[in-house]
Amino acid sequence: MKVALSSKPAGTAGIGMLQRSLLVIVRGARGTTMAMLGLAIMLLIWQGVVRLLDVPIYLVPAPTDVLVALYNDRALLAQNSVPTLTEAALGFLLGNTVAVLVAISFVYNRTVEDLFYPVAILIKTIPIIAIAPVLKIMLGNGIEPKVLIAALICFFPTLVNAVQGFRAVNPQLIELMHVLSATKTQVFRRVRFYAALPYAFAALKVSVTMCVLGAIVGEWIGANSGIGYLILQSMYVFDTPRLFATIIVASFMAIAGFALVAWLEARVIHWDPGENT
Amino acid sequence: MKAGKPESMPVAIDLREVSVTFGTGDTAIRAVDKVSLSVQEGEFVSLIGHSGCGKSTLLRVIADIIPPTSGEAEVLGMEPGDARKQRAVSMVFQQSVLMPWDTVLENVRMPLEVGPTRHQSSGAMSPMEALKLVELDGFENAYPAQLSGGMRQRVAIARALVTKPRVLLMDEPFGALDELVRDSLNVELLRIWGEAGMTIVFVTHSLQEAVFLSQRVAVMSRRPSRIAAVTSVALPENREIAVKDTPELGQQVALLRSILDEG
Repeated sequence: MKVALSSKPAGTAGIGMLQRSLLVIVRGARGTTMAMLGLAIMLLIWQGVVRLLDVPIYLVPAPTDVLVALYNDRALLAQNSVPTLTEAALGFLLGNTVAVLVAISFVYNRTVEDLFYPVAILIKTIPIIAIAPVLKIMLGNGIEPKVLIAALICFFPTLVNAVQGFRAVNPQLIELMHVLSATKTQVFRRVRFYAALPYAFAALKVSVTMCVLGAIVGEWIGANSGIGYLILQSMYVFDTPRLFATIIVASFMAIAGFALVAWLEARVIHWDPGENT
Repeated sequence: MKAGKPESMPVAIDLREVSVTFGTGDTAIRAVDKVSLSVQEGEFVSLIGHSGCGKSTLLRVIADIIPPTSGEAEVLGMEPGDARKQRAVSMVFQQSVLMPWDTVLENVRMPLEVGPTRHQSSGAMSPMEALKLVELDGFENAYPAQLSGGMRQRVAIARALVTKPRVLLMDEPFGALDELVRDSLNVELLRIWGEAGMTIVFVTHSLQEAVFLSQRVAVMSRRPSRIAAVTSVALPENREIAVKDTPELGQQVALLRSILDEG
């Protein structure tokens, strides 16, 4: 005890955290290198097979063909990324905001949860692609149906995780708050909110990639711009290299979103959520 | 306040035939069975007994976490709920249950920032004062994850003391700590009790700890969950850690063990 008391808390923690971070970086760097190597091997095999068997470019383009398309069509791809990104981002914000608000209402009121949780699950079971045409009829050809589809996709994972997170509080901490006569809102702001953050971020990392998918599906059912639109156009004219290029752009959007959320998570959650203090 | 009871009577906690039953019908479990116990103000009383004998439940009745199914509980002459709302009662748990996202100071300050606003500043001590009392000044900006288990439990005690409670309830507060840390915290708890002079009800598995700390020890039996005996501890008032190794303490422990085995 004496030894622990005499050491400076900031110093010991600094060392511990540095070691942990280094470990992560070292492992991470190795992991990244191996993943890149794996990808390179796959691409080489792909390139080799396409060239050796002389596969026509409209059937399967070689990776180099895709790279060329990516470069030549860069303006077109960038231009069409804007609406898709906008729809995905708005859908992400809308779906997650509503999900968190609904989760809060569930935590505050059990009756509301009993009434509407089953409805939420019911919505979840409907394939989004099946709802898309309905939304198009209801909302027209504008940005609205795309945003709504992206929002719907984001909604469910965040709702489930937020509800779970708000409840993932040490029961003794709830007892302590009770002994302190804390109000429901105080318990929420001081405890439940923070307890839910790691759960919320797990859901956000899923939904940030899903919202891109939602926006693209939305564009498929009626749009004259966007990555989804470009995918359909490229398919109709058998411009397969460009089709592959759009896939890469869409995938890059999802990865960038994921990285952004992960970065934000590391900023916000400065404690170890798994640790029981 | 119960009618006809003189106000000057220095009884901090009065339990009369308190029973707690969980569940109903065939599956009902009687966790506490007609327990009567009276604790004087300023007294240090330990509750010991086997796991599941209802000692933690009894503590939760006093803290107004669990209502008694039957019988009456009074804390400082009030209903437990009223005593709680007046911030007269604090509780320390086996886990320190600190909030890992807040610093030590924010954790200790928390009781002053929640609850009925009119009690927030009156009769409390400053969080720094509370930290000084548990000898953790200098650690106010650390996060719980940076502290050892024993230090975390000190923070939990500081958090309980910050409201200057008249009754401190402790549910196996040192049960998860190793023996050396437990010993030093035992001594510190006695010092804090001596300085602050509150009533302490202390639940523990350890007979040694109970005897070392308490003026009286209540032994609970299992099935029925009753208080089998209450014994006064005949040890000097100023107890140092060496007292733990004295034959006098050993005799008291042996006595309690024999009562426990009967129950």
